[in-house]
Formats: sequence, structure tokens, C-alpha cells
Amino acid sequence: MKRFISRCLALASVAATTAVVSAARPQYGGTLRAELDAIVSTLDPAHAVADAKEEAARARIVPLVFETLTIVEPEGVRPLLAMSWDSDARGSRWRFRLRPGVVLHDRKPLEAWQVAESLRVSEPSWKVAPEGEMIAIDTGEPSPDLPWVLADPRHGVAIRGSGGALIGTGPFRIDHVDAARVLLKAHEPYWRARPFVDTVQIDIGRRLEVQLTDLEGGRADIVSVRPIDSRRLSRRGLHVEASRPLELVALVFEPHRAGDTALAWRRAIAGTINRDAICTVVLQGNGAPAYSIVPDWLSGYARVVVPSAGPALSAAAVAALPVDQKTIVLRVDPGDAVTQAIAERLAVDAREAGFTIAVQAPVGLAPRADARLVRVAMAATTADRAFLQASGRLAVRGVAAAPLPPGSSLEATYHAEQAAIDPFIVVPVVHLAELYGIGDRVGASVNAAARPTGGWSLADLWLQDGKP
Amino acid sequence: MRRPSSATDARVLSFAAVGFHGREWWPTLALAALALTTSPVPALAQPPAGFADLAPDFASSIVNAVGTSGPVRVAFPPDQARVQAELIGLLATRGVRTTDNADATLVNASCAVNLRDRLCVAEVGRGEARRIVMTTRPRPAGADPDAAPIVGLALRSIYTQRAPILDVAVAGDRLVVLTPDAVVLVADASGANDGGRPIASKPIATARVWPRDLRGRLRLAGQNFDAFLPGVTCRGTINPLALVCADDSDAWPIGLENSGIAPSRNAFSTPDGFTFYEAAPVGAGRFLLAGERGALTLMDAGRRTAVRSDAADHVAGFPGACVADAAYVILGARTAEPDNDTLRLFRLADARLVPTGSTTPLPGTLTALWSATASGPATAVVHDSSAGRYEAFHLTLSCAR
Repeated sequence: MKRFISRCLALASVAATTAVVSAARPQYGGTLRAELDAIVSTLDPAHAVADAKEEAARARIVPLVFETLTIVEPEGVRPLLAMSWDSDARGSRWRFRLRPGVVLHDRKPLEAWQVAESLRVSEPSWKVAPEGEMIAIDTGEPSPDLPWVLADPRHGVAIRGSGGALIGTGPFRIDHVDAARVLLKAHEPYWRARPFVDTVQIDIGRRLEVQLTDLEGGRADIVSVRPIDSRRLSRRGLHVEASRPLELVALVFEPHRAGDTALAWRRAIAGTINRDAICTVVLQGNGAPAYSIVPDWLSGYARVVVPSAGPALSAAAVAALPVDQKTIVLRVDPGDAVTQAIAERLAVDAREAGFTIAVQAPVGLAPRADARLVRVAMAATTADRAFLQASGRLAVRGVAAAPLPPGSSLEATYHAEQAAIDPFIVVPVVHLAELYGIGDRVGASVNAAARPTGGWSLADLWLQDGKP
Repeated sequence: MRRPSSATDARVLSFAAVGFHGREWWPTLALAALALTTSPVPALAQPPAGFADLAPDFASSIVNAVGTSGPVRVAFPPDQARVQAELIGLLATRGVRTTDNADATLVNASCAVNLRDRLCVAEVGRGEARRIVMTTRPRPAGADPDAAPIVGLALRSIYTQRAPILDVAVAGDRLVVLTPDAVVLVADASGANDGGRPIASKPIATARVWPRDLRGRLRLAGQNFDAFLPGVTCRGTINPLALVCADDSDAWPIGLENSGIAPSRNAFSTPDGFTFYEAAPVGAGRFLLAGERGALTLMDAGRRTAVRSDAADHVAGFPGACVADAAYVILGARTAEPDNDTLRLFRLADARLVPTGSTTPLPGTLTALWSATASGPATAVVHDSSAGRYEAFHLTLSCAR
């Protein structure tokens, strides 16, 4: 019997090994079907959009078509269309050496003057000029982090052809754009090798719930996934890929609750938050407890960002509060199920401490809220730029942006961030990653579809039913 | 070895005594086995000792913050023992005494890498007296392919016996061997069993019936050691060899918070109930967990990410080895050949395992794999059923440029 069992185990092992080694060689061809929830009004990288959702959607599509001089990878800022760069001592005059052999979507070689022209459109305040194979940029003011700035998709090199057509150098070229769909075709002479798939079909304006069912029904290959849905996909055997954490969910008190006299009150409410439970239960393991604004992988110092110590309200003091101070109206985006779920959990935790949180998800006019639960996205960049980006977006919601000059040292950034959270007006709750559900048709590739630094990497994806 | 569910009836380890066939070609080959490969992922040029180049300035900053009048207690994350040791040495040369005394000023430090910088940061003191000390250096700006390390996995056979081995630990010139029945002290451990001979043994006194997939772990601290078994914790001394066991489910020293292994089980679980078999530290407080059905999961600050990879039943990590901000892990998996498991070396890049191409066959079935601790080696135990023996190996990474 023992020998029989051993043989069964051996056979099972062989079967497992067979499964492991039977992975197919990547195939070329086919149409990869992706979906996004936002409407994308333009793919012009230099065109600024105000809507955060549209900006996030554009950040996925634009880099597939328009490449930047530099790119941010997990290892830091790296060359892309530029091969190398140098600057003067002030960091205001820069020269970027253009990569040779890059071919535009119209199959003509990319030239330095075209890059200069594109950058002048994306940043009119710069003086940009071609110098042989180099591109000279004079920013006027010191800009020690210019290579990081140039990695922003808005500085994607876009050549404006006749009739307003935009062409780039990326792995895909624009084939068709309408209000519901973007079609991209593989760029055959792409300098980093042609993508596996022939076509990427991106359906836009698809609600997240619809995307989920499309993925489950085999009608989509890559969709955006909310943390609260990841377990459902895993149970169906579908794969979920994540970036590194790039978004902060924070409790932000409104100005009438942000005074110094209410500091102990805010500290008491912040003390009720059970971040571990939110990450484990509500976000199904897809969130990281946040005590800082900037995630640790972008700053490295997050563990020492600690809210200021001081008196909080005792249980007796909370019980003795007037009703209007024991009740907090917490506003959330009515279209965001994730913040609504987190808010409901905050209400549960606060109730145990004697507070009542009324979650308000208004679709029209609503009573004044005491606090909001907001989501603030950050780019993968230097700590100071990420902090400035996040604090700038928080400032839109009535919180003063911390003064921090561009290119600040890490220590200065730490002190600014510490100062920003000390008053308990902004209370970090969790950090979220971009999550993507991957369909069954997508074969295992060397690089993930979800870039660690955010956005899609689709050139390496291949389809199991693609035509060789 | 495909780890069986505790509920199954499959016997995986046989505890019957088996014949000893002497040393064969394999251990000799294993001593020299050094599968070198170049990592396909561009790695950054880093100082050989990780953050060691930051340590002098970091130590000076700490001295400025605490002065030299009293002792300090230095704490680092468990996977940064090397920089901790470096810092303690530098503090000593600057006149600052370090201690484990809880009353001493706490220096709670860590080193990390963000996209632009490498940094070491410390909280010094607590409450109103709390200060932050930070030392930074820029990360290298460009990937230098020539700086990519050549990383290989080296195996060294350290002990062989007929009875099952659960874990081994080196204590000076002796070897402590944990078996299902006893803790055995072996002399001349460096002799790789040629000169190694058991000199003392103490039985594990317990009324418990061991689970079928029995696991055990040793932890040494000077002349004292602890032995962890499912539902049993033993404490002992090496000289003289002494052992006291009690039915107790203490947390096992695997780097990750756990509640030990339950008496009739073979798996760990995290405080939130996630079940795993092995945990490999991969730096920055992260762990790669080998779970049910060979699934690999990356745990980062409580957040779990499924790792897209071949299935693996065993996993061990070498945090901080070779490249400061790169993590290497080995996966143990069964091949089509029965009784010939392999170890494969990977570099962890985000939640992906990038194969380095280094694959090392083992002379049997891998029955235990424990991650490296601090600067020490990882440990593997292999059951060679044809030769009728269990063999323990130390695994290290060799790094060259």
C-alpha cells in the first residue's frame, strides 16, 4: 500500500511537472481586448485634462503610443527615447542624447527637431532646441529632477501630422478612435521589437461592474479591478495583477472641523481606525495600512512618519460630548464602492469608541459634511514630487498644500510630510495599488501586464488563440 | 516534495531506519556545485555590503543625536542584521555603547531604497524627545550591465545520517541536529561528516504523536538553543547537552509573525489566518510564502499578492545577498524524475520571479528548506531513498561581478 501511495505521489508529481513545463511558446497575432471606465476625450499627451478618471485612463493608453525621453522603472529613472543626459551645475540647462534608430509610426526616422517641437508644445515655458543628435532644454529655473519630469506621459513625444493626426514611436499606433472605442495596431518596426498582438481594442466608458462581468464572461482580456472584487476573480481562477501602491485613501476633515481646538477630537477619531481590518476584510488583502501620505516604496521613510503625540479624548470625554460632536457626517463619492465600503468600516470602528459616523454618498445637494474620504493618486516618481502631487490634490479639497520647493531633499520632504499630518486634518488610511484582472486567453509572459510603476505594459502580452 | 494536506492519509516521511551506503559521488560534487549565471534583469551597482557605505555618516548622525553619555539599544528589521552589525561597530568606535537593556535610549532604524535614493533612517528616543536621523545617497542613475552581479547557488553538505533530519544548526565546531526523536550533538561539524560523529543525544520527551509531515526548527543563541516542533517547544543547552520539552505552541523563528504549527498539522498561519508552509524573507519586511497547492504569495506590509510562477512547495530567501535592494529566492520543486528534486534560483522583481537560469539537482527528495538567517546560510534537508539516508546542506549565494 505504501509503495502504491508513493507511486501515486510520484505520478502526481510528474503530472504537476508536466503542467509546469507545458507552457506554450508565445504566439503572435490576435486582438487583445481591454476596457477602461473613463471616457477619453483626446489622446494628445500634451493636452491637459481636469478629470482624474480620464487622466488615469489616458495614463494607460498614451504611453503605448507616445514614448517619453525617460521612463520610471522600479530601479529608478531610466533612458527611453534618450540614451543619456547631462546638465549644468545649476540643473537648468540639460542636454539629452536621442536614441538612434527609432522609427515613427509613419516609418520615418525620429529626428531631434521633432522631439524639440513636441516638448515645446508640452511645456511652453522651456526653451527647447535640437543640437545635432541632442536636444537642449533650458528650463530657466534650476530643475535638478528634469529626467523625472520628462518621464511624465504628458511629455510623450507626439508628432503632429497633416490633418491633426498624432504619431508617436510607441509599440502601438493609433488606428481608430471614437467615443466608445480606441483601436491600436502593432507598430511593426518598433525599436524594442514588435508587440505579440496585432491589435489592442480598448473599450472606454465601461463601468467597473460591467468590466468585471466582461472578464468573467470571456468578453475582455484585461480590465480594471476594484480591491473588493479581487477575491471573486481569484475564486474563478482568473489572475489579478497589481502595481505597487500608487493611491492614498485618506480621511480629510472639512475646514469647520479643522481648527486647533478640535485637535484632540480629531485625534480621538483617527485613533478608532482599524487599518489592518480594512486591508484584510474590506480590501481583501489588496491594500496596505497607511500612516503616511507617500507610500514607503516611494519615500523609504514612511515608517517614521508618526502622527503627533498628544491628548486624545477619553471614553468618558467622548460620552460627554454634545451630539453634534459625537456625530460625524462622512462624505464619499457616490460612484466609488471602494471608499463607501471603507467608510462603512470606519463607522463600525468609530461606534465602538462612542462616535457615530453617518456615511453620506450624495448624488445631489446634501447637508454639510464634517469630513470626506478621498482617493488621491500619485505618480511613481521622487518622494518630493509624489508628495507635492498628493498634497496639491488634497489642497483642492481645502487642505493647505505644504510648502516644498521642487527638487527638495528627502529629509526636507519628510519634515513637510510630517508637518502635513501632524494636525490630523489629513489622516492616511490605506494605500492602494492599480489592480487589473487578466483573462484566460492571455498567456504567461516575461513582463506583467500591470507595470509596477503604474499603467499597462501590453507589448509583451500574447494570446493563446493568436495566429502564429 | 509536494506537501500533503494534513487530512490526507499519505505517508511522506518514513521514519524507519534505513541502511547506510556510505558517501557517494554526490556530496563531493555538491561541494563544488556552483551554478553561475548572469541575472537577466539589469541590477544596480551597489556597495558589496548593501548600505554599509551609508553606515559611517549614519552612525555620526546618531551620535550627534544621542551623545555618548549613555548606552543605546539599536533595533533594525530582522533582514537587516548586516547593516545593524556594521552600525553597532561604528557606534562603538565613536564612544557609544550599545546594549539590549530596555531602559537604554532606543534607536529604531532601518535602511531602504526609493526610486531616487538609498537611505537609512532612525527614530531616536520616544515621546517628546523623539528625533529623526536620516542619511541618504543617490541611487545610481543608469543601469550598468557590467555591474549586474553573477549569482550562483552553492551547496555544501554538512551532515548525513540514516534517521530523518528536521533541521541542523552550527554551534562553533559542533553541529546540533534535530530529529523526530532527539536532539543530537555532533562533533567536528566542519568535517562534513567525515570526522563528524554524534557525541551526545537527548530524547524529545513528549506524549504527542507527530503529524505525518513532521517539521522542526532549531534556534541557537550562544550556548542555548530552542527546538520547535508541532505543539512542542524544547529548550536546551549545548555544553553540557540538556533538553527540556513542553507541550507548547510558541511562534517559530521563521522571521514572519506566526503562531507555530498546530500539533497535528504541517502548516503555519499568519495572524489573519492565511495558511502557508514556508516563508522566505525577501527584504524590506516582505516575505514570499509557499502556500497550498504550491501557490506563491508575496506578503508586503500585510498585503498579499499572488505571484505568477510555477508551483513550488519549498521556498527560501537570501535578503540583501549580492545586491542590496535585490532579493533572491530559491524554489524547491519536483521534476519528472522521481526522487530527484531541484532547487531553482530566482530574482524577485516586484511580485514576479525572474529565473536566473541556475538550477541545481538534489540527490533525492527535498524534505525541509529553511531560509538564511542574518548572514548565515539557508538549510536544506534531502531524503535519498535509494541510498537510504537524509542529508543536510547549507545553501549560500556566491556573488561576483
